Amino acid sequence: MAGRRRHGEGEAADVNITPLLDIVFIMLIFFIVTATFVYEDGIAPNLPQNNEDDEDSTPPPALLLTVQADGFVLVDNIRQIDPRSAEPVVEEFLAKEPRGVVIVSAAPDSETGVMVTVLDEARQAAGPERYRSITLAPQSRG
Amino acid sequence: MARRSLQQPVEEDGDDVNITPLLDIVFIMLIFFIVTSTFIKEPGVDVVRPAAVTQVEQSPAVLVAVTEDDQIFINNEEVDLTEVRYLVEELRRETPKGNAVLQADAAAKSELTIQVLQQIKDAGISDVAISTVAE
Repeated sequence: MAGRRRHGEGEAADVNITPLLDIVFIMLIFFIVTATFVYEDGIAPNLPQNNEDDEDSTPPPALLLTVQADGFVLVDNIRQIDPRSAEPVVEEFLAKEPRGVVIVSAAPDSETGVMVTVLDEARQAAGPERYRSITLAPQSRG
Repeated sequence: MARRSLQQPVEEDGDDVNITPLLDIVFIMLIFFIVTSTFIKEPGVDVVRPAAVTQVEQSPAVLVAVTEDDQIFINNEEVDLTEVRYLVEELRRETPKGNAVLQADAAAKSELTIQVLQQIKDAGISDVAISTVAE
């Protein structure tokens, strides 16, 4: 009798946590399976903004890099260069015009890859503090 | 009597493995996964990302893809350019933190890429990046 009573006491003290464990494990497996760790590297381009035009202010000097559909880059509508050699051009311009802005204008039929290459070259030349002076603009058709 | 009372504790000790450390670890893993899970809806298409040097690590909350055939994908579905703004606004409501990343294929038309970028900005996400890879 004494032994049976002791056995009963032991059961009462030992709370059955098996269902709790089941739920916790199922939640754990659910969160492990649904967890998606997305790693993305990228560059954030500045797009042109519509701002109030000030009649007094003079626009800053600008370097226009037009990405053409054939994969070459037109500098200030004058000369053609390879997209990979845009960095020295931008560097030279920014050295001459410290307040200057660089406009990367992409022709409608040009490839995104070439556009990003030119943008990247311009960013390399400008350095992180002057990323703001680089603008990515679409070229209007026709 | 003496034999029984000696046997009982020995049996109980053998049955009752101490699972408290196991539970601790399981709960910590559970909390970790609950906290880190963000449920990002991926576009579901593979694109060839353009190479870049000046790339920065992004923390994407909204993902949009543009394929080489100039199709736009959001959340495993092909969408029209005019729908992008509404869908991005909807995704943004689900995951308010983080920025938007556009997975544009290197061979996609840059006109479409810029238009999609503009649509995402119009949807109220000012921090939009083009996904790139290291050269």
